[in-house]
Amino acid sequence: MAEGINQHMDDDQIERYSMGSLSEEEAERFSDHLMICESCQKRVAESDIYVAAMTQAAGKMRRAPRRNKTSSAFWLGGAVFAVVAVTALLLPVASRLRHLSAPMPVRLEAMRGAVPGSTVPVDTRLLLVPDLSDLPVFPVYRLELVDSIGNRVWDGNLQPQESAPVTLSRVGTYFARVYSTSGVLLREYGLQVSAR
Amino acid sequence: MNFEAEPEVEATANRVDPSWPLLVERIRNGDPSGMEELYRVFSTGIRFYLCRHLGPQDLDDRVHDVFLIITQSIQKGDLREPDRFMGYVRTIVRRQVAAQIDHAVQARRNQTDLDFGMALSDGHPNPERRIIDQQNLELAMRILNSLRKREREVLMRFYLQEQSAAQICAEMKLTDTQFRLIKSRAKARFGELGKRRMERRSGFRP
Repeated sequence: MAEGINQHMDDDQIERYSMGSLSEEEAERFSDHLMICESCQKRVAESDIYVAAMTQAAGKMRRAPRRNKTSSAFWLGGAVFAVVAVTALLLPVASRLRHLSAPMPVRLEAMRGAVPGSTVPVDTRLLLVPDLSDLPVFPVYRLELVDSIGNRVWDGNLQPQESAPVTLSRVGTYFARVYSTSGVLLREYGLQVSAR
Repeated sequence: MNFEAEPEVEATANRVDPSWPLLVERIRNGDPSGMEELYRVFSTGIRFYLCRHLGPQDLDDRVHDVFLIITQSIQKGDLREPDRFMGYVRTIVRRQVAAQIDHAVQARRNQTDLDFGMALSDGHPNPERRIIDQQNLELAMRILNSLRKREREVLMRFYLQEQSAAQICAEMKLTDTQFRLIKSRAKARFGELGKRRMERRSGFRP
């Protein structure tokens, strides 16, 4: 056992530790080693920074794909024309279809006191964006939404700066909880759903 | 954060081979040298673990609490198998992390007037950290933008979609060496750009 905890981990294992993708046995063994090895602590800290930055950058890039400069002007002009034409045709109809309107972004703030956006209307498509500042950095978090008596109404994985699409059809108080990849509860926010 | 090239390390450098039963015995007897050795061996590791899971606030107090719990539980005779001391320490640290989080959640719920949107941790402002995180994001974006489409796809599959190396290699017809090369080049570039940024900052210091 002493030999095991004194053995450094290689770069691949360190990166997998940062990403939370080691097996439980490997993670435990590495955690023991990290208790006593400053060199590997430093390497993990650097890996955490790198993995978080690359994951966020990749997510951002995925949402905003690169365009070919030579054809972008042509496509842009066509897209603008299409949007204007479609909008002119559908505007009267769209105004009657409120429930199909763009989802409402809701930022779950880590602040004291009532904050704008912490009360949302019922039966509205929401995009929940939890404030993850000052939390330990992970490539992925788990978000869980429960009602006032603890029934789970939504859960899923969330990358940093990503939003969770949710529609709540009952008035009341809800709690959104952010967990680490290993299931540790990191932060909780309150959310009040009110009648329109 | 030091972005120097990774130093060569001995396979078993920073070796720690205390006799756990002897150390436990010394602590149980209240021997100050036992406490000192306990602190010397574990202080940076416990601090690292707590900071990684709970953040930097109140870190000194939390580290102190963990050491207090370890020594008190040993002196009470709670540690039945001294040979498993490492696992015992790990368990105590993990329980402390879980307890800290549970405590904060309960304390907030017990408030008479419910403040919506309150954070679990106090999260006192750290604008410098946010700026650094933003700069790191920009470095990563710059690196991804500088890659060929195929190389960028490899990194996006690995970091964003968390696909395994085997899957990426199979689907994109890459050898393991090619895959590792793409990853290591990007990581080295990140370190290099980060180091240059820190050097530029140092150059402006009085």
